[in-house]
Amino acid sequence: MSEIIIVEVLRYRREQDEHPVWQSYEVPYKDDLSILETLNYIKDNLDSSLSYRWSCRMAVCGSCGMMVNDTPKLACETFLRDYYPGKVRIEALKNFDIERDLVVDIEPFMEKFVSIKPYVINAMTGKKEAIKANADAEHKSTTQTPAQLVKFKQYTMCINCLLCYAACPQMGLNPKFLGPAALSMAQRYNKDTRDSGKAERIAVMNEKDGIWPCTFVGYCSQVCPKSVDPAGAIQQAKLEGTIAMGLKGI
Amino acid sequence: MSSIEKVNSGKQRSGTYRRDMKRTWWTEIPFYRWYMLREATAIFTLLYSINLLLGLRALATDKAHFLAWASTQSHPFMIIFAIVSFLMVGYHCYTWFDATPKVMPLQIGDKKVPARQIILGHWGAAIVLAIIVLVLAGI
Repeated sequence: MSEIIIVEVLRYRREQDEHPVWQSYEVPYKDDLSILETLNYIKDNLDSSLSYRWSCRMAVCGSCGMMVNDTPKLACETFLRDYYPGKVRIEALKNFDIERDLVVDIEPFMEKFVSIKPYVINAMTGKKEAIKANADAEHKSTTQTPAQLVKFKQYTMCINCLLCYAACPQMGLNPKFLGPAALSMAQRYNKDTRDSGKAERIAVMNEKDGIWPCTFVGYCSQVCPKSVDPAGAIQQAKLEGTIAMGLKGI
Repeated sequence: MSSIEKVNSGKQRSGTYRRDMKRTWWTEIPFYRWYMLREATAIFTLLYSINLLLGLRALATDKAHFLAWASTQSHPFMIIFAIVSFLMVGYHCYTWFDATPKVMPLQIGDKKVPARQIILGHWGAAIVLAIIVLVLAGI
C-alpha cells in the first residue's frame, strides 16, 4: 500500500461559501510529484470542482503561482517531497482577491501593468518620413550593445507570476500600490537604450501609489523564481525619481 | 485625479473574496521579523546619537560638564545600552551593505560586478575606517 500525504486546499466557491474554507484531500505520495501534479491528481480523481490556473508545467508561463505552506511558490516547481511526511496547505496567492478556489483576480494588476507603459516607446514611431530621411537615425534607434543590454536584462526575465505581490506586505496594506512586477518592468524599459518614454513612466512611478509605498522589505526578490530582483529595481527607481522631482523643483 | 487613479482604484470587484491583512502580519514569517528588526535598529541609532550629542554639548560647555556626562556612561544601564546599540548598528550595517549591490549595481564593460564583491568591499572599508578611528582615539 502506498504512502499518503494530506493536502489541504483553501476553497472558495461564491455560490456556496460565505468565507473560504479548508478542504482536506488524501493523495498517494510520490517523491517526484509536484504541487501542480498533485492538484491535477485531485481534480482527476478526487474532486473535479477544484479550480486553479496552470499551463506550461515548467516555470515559464507564470500561471500557477500560489501559497504553499504560507510561502509564495510556483506549483509546477515545488515538490511534495519537501513537505512529506508533514501536510501541505495550499492557498490562493495572498494580497489578491479570490475569484474561485486558487484562482485570483489579476485584473487590478493588469491595470497597473498597463499604466507603466510596458513597451518600447520610440521617438521614431510613427515618423516614417523622418526615418526615411535619415536611415542612420533608424539604425541608431534599434542597435544595442551587450553592455547596454546587461543593464536591464534581468528585468526582462519576469514571467508575471505575481509571487512578488503575494510576498509584499505593502501590497496587502495598500492595494493601490503599483507593486514589484509592474515597477521592475517599468525599469526594464526605462533602462532600454531603444526607448524614449522614461519621462512618461517616471511621472506615473513618482505618484503617491507608485514607487513610494515600497519600504524595501525585500521579500519580493527572495521569492522571485526568475531572479528578477524587483526590490533592487524599485530602489534604483527611487533614486531616479528623487532626481526627477529635484529637477522639476528647479 | 492622477493617471494611476484613473485605472487603479484598489477596489474589490464584485463576486470576489478579499482576505484582510492582520495587524500581526509581521510576526508570521522569519523574513518579516528580520525586516522589522532592521527597521527597529533606527530607534537605537537615534537614541545613541542623542547620547553622543549630549556628550558633545557637555564638551562644548566646560570640563566639569563633560566629566559628569562621561561618568554617566559607566553606569551599568548605559553599558548595556551601548552594547545593545552596538549590536543593533552592526545588524543595520549588515543589512545596509547587503542592499548596496541591489540599489547601486556596478558594471565593468558588459559584465556586472558580482554582489558579493561589492558587499565585501564595503565590509573591508568599514573595518579599515574603524581601525583608523580607534588608532586616532588612542585606544
